[in-house]
Amino acid sequence: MLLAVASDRDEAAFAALFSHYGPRIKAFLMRTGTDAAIAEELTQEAMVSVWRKAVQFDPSRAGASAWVYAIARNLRIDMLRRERRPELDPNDPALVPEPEESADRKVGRLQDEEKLRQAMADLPDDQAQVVRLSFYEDKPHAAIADELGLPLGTVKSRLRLAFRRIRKVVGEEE
Amino acid sequence: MTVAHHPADELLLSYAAGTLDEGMSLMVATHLAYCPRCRGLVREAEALGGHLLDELPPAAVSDTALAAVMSRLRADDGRAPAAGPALEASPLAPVSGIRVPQPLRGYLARDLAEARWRPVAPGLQQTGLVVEGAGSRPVLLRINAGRTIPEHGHRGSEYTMVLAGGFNDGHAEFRPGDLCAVGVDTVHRPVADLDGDCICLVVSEAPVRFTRLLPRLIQPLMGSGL
Repeated sequence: MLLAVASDRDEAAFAALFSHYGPRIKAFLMRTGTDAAIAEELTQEAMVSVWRKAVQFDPSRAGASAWVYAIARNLRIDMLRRERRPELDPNDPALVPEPEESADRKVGRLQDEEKLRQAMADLPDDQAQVVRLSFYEDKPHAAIADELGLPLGTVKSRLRLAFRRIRKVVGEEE
Repeated sequence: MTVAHHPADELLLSYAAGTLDEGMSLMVATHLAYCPRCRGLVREAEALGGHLLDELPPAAVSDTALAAVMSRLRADDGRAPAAGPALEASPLAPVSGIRVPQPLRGYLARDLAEARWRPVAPGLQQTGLVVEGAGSRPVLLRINAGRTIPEHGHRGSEYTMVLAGGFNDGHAEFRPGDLCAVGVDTVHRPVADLDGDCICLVVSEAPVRFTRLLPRLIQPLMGSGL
């Protein structure tokens, strides 16, 4: 659908994307305590970006949800935190290129929804908790440590372990 | 050139989650330009982000939202679909021989050779970078070829990424793209390699930042300015 929006400027495909992602982006923004009316404004802003940036969507680099997620996340940083989001420029001539084989094969398994769902479901509660606080609530390590009354090192190691487990379930890593 | 020293997995995950402050994000994102391995890991973490977005119970969006967005988009029509942002040619490459990748290049006001380097110790100079966000303050550090930074400890975590030249801290050798992370308990004595000045991006982890998201954006959205 994103590709139809990119190449044909297909409004019906965009409406379908809107009905799936719009309410989820809004829910995502509200997780940080953002007021519903502001979250609604920002959701519209995010969907405008989805349309405008659709030509940059590269299915060999990311799945549609990961790509939309990155737009919503960057908007949260820009508009709510008022910071710039330093990002890699994939067209930068100074970029060290990828070895040939890596990207394509991997993206297939990254988009395996069922495996990701399973991986999250199988995480020990304490690890799933720090992952959710990070992705949903935009909490830096120190704020998570403070909220849970844990040493900073424990927060970091839980995140590290969670990431490793997820990668193990989703792919063949480690 | 293969990068040997990477950011810890939790830093890559947190970069993908968007929870690092601007200085730390700048460090990680610039490392990614050197490092296909870590780009792969961030892609995996963003796939997780996409999954977590999909999993959220939807919040009701107003009936008129789609129409409002569509009318904004139709107003765009006729405009050519935006191509990727035009890349400014690196002003750095020819003069100082250093290829600074994005996004760091965008933070540099001028060529590294002409930057206002402030001496901090013999053989050691630094220059600050401007970030908008609160939190860690990144600086560029230049260690002249072959010079030693006197043995020192650290008050918090400190991350040093090599952009040019290299150094050896007594434990390992660091070359462009390599990230050296030290904690409070680390005492080290880095020595710059002999093949030219060593230029590094240094970010010290900020003291606790608590996110309290206030609707400061209401003003720009309402078009009233600040």
